[in-house]
Amino acid sequence: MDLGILSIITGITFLLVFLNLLFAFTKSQEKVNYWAGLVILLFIVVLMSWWMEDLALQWVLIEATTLFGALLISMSRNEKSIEVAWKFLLLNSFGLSLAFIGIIIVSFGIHSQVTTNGNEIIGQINSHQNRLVETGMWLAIFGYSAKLGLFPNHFWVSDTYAESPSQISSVISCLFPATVGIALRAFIKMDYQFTNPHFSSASGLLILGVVTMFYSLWTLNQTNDIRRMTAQIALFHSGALAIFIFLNPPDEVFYYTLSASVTVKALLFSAMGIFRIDAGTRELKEVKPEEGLNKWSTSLYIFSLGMAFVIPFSPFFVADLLLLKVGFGIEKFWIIFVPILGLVFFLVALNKLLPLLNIKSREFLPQHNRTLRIRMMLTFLILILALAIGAYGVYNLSNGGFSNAQ
Amino acid sequence: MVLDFFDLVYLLLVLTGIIILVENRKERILYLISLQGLLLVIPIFQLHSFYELHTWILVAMVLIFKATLTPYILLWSIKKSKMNVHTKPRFGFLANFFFFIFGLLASIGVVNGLGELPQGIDKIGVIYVFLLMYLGVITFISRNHWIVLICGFIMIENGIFLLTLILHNGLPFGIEFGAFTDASLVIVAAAALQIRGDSIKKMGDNSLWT
Repeated sequence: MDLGILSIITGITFLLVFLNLLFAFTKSQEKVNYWAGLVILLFIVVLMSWWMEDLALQWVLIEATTLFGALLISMSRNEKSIEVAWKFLLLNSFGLSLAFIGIIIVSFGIHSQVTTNGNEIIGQINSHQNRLVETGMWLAIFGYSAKLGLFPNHFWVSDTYAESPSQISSVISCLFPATVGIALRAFIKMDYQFTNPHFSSASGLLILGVVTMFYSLWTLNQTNDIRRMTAQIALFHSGALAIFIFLNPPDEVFYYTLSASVTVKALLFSAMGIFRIDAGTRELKEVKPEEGLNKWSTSLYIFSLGMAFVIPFSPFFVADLLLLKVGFGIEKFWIIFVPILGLVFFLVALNKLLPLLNIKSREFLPQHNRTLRIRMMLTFLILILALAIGAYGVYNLSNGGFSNAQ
Repeated sequence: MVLDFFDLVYLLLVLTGIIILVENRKERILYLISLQGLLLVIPIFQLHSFYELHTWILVAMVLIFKATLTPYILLWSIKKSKMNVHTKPRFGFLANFFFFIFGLLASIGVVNGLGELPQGIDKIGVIYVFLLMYLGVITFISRNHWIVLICGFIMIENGIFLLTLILHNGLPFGIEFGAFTDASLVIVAAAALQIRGDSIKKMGDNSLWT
């Protein structure tokens, strides 16, 4: 697995979500065709940023995604979505400003040849271990962590994913964490070159990730809103991704984990959108058992939840195994608590959702039949893609693949 | 540390930042932002030759994006949303003063740790640049109105531009242009969101799902 394959997987996932947006958009009376260009532009800019070696240019592209994202979040055309888009714009722009200051300071701290090329900086950092470079790395990592949605800049995440159209939530939740993950990786590599930092910025990222995971677990327990619950799953995974980045895994493992994140998040939000329309409410307590639920939509959503955590052959299941393998390889045995925390999160979510399976089954309501069937078909395709990635991971793992993950 | 002409310009940038932080009239704040944009032109000549094409491209970008386009978009938004701009003047909070003193001390500390600076750059100039960014952060945090909040963001961007100029002699043209465009687009996106929000409040919420 490399960046090229990740790009292809992301391209396929994006195409399926994009078709979902074009043919099954229901959130408001907006003309989707007008917004389609912006969605495509967002995808192109994200993909370009992945391939940039120059940290400053990469930053420019990531900043651009914030603008497109903010406008897309407002697509729901209600007061709440405008507030959320505003919050998203401010927190992300603020975080990215800090990250840019960090990039400038790090590259100045290298001194001998001022450059913003990531590889050149990593090559020189060993001989330029000073407080200035350390400060720059701190700023860059903290700034980018806001875009990843880590504590204490996590407030945009659940609002954004909960109030945007599910297709936009799919796009943002699958593209943004991967983008920031790739951007952060260069700084973590720099941090690992430091022999005696005052306080490692990689450890800082680890702490932010752990706090974010606990926060999302606590919030999940408080809510019965299906959109917020799904948003908390995405937040939990952002925290877990931060821990993964902290471990500085080999490229193959890193890109595999990102491909898991891309496909499963798209799956989760697509399935949530279907279930939410079918249920007619976003509050679990307001679901009326006498009116019934479509068993396919309910099962697909619960299955997607499982795909995000524990189902064997799911990409995240393999990612958890890889996390353990990498962690144990560098004698960080505490890493075992990450999958355990994931299991606890899954059980809390499942406890809220399982009673839905007792509700009598019915067909989709006639007014939603066409839309939901289109969505179901496209979501099943994402599910097949996710399962294929999971199967590839299991096969690779059982045949001695990912051998450098030690 | 000798205060020369360029340091005076940096000082003026900080002073405009302080006024933006405490001023309550939105139109005046935008004039000050435009003035900051104009002042940004001068440090370019501190580090770039008068005869370089890159120098004049930078000057043009600063004049277009920072001095003209940015304040114009915000002014247009004020008029479009028929905002009340002539509110009573009010001095800022005492807390801002204490935050400022803290920022001043922190900036001195950070700049002392920078080590050797490029030729022709005084430490005092860099302290002013850090203070400008810091003032932007305080404005961003302490002010409520979206126009002023965005002005805080613009101050941070202005500070970053100066920091890049001082520490790096500027970045390659493509990245500079991208950063300028991004900063402007943030403001366009902010204005678009606010105007859209106003229109939804007036016309009613037409979303189909909660």
